[in-house]
Amino acid sequence: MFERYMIDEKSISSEIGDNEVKSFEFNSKLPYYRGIPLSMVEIIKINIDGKEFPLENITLNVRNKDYSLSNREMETIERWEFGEISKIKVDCPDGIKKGKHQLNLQMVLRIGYLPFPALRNFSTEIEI
Amino acid sequence: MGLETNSEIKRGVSLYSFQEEVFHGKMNLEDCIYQTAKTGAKGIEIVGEQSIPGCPKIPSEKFQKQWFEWMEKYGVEPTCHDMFLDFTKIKGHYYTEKESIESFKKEIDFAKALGFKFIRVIVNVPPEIIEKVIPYAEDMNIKLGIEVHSPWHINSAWMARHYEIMLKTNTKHFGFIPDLGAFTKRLPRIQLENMVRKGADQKIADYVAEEHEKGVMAEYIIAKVAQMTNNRIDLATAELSRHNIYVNPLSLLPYMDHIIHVHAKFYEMQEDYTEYSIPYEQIVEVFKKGNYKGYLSSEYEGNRHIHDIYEVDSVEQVRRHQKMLESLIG
Repeated sequence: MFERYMIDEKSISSEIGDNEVKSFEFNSKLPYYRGIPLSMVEIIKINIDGKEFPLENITLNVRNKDYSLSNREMETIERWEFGEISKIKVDCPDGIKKGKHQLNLQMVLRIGYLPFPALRNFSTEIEI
Repeated sequence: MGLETNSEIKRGVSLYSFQEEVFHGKMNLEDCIYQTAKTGAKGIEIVGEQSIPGCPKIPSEKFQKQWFEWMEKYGVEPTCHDMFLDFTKIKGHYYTEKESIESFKKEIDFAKALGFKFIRVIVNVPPEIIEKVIPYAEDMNIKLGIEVHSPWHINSAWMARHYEIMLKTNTKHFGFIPDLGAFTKRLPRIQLENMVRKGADQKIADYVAEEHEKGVMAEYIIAKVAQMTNNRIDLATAELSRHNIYVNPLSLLPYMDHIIHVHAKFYEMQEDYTEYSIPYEQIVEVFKKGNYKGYLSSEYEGNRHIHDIYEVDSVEQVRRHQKMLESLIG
C-alpha cells in the first residue's frame, strides 16, 4: 500500500562532479498505514538500471536528521510518521551519467505482527 | 428479524477509515473528527501511531486540551485506541516478557491521557502477556480487547486461549474486539480486480470468487488453483480466500458478554447502502439478539485496493456505512 509514494520524482535533486551525478536525493513517504520507529525500517535498497547500490550508501533523512543503515538500527524512539515526507539520499561515489534512469526502491519493514518481512517495491523512471 | 427494538448499539468511526486523505494531507485530525460527527456517529477510534505523531509518547498538554475541546465541540467521545506490540523493534532481539509489558503499559498510559475507554490489542499478543497487564489496565480503568481479525475467528485456537484468561481472571477489563472482516461472505471484488490489474488471470479470479462464495474451504481452493497455474499472482489470488474468511455470525453469540467493542470492517459501500462482501444485516441482527450495548466502529479498508487507479472517497464510504448501520440498528 502507498508504494507509489515511496519516490516523489518531482523532488529529485542531485550533486554533480566531473560532469557526473555523485549523489542524488528525493522525497519519500513511508509505504504503511502508521508511523514506526526508524529501527523497524530495516532495509532501504536502491537499484539503478539493474545495478544495486551498497546499503551503506543510502541515508534516510527524517526531520533534518540523517540516519544511515547502522544508526537506524537501534533508533527505537525517533519515528517516521504516517504520511510524513522524509528524504532518501543516495551516494554514487563512482558517478552515474546525467539523464534518464530506471530507479527501483525497496523497503523492508519489520512489523511485529507479520510472520514475514514486509517488502515494499516501487520502480519508476527518473531524470537526474 | 426486526423484533428487537430500542437497541442500545452505538455507532462510531475509526479514523483509520480516512487514512488515504490523511496520508495525502487532504484531511487533518480535526477534519476526521468533524466528518465522523457529521454522520451522527458518536465514537472516535484511532490507530494512535497513525493519527498522533510520537505515539505512544503522551501528547503535550496543549494537544490534550485541544483533543478534548474537539470532543466537546463535535459532540463525540473517544472510544478505542488501536495498539501494536512490535516485539522485534530491534533487529535480532525479541522482546522479553518485561519489555513487552513495559511497552504495553505505555499504550495504556497513552489511551488514558486521551480519554479512551478501550484498547485494541493487536492479534499477535499472547494471552500470557495480557494476563500480566490486566491489573494495570484495571487500575487505569482501560478495557483491553484482543482483536479477532481474519484469518482468526472467535473460535480459533488462539482465541480459545485468550478466552481462558478472560474466564480465569473474571475481569471486566479484558475481552474481544471482533473485526467483521471475519464475515467476508463474498470476496471483495475490489481485491480481485486489483489482483487482475497486477496480472492475475481473470478466469482464476472468477473461479476463486465463486468457490469462496460457495463456502469451499480456502485450502481446497488454493490446492485447485495450484494445479492450474504456477503464477505467483494467481496463487496470491487464491490465498485471498484464506485471508478473508467467512464464519457464521451466530458464532459471536455465546461470547457476547465478552465483546467490548467491534471493528465494523468494510471494503466497498455501494450506492444502495449495502456492503458488497460482508452481510451486515445478518451481523447486526446477531448483535441485537445478544443485547450488545457497545460500539460498532466503522473501519473502511477499501482504499489500498483501489488507490492505484481510482480517487478514494473515504468520507462518502463512511457516510454510506454509517447510514446503513443507523437503519439496521433501528
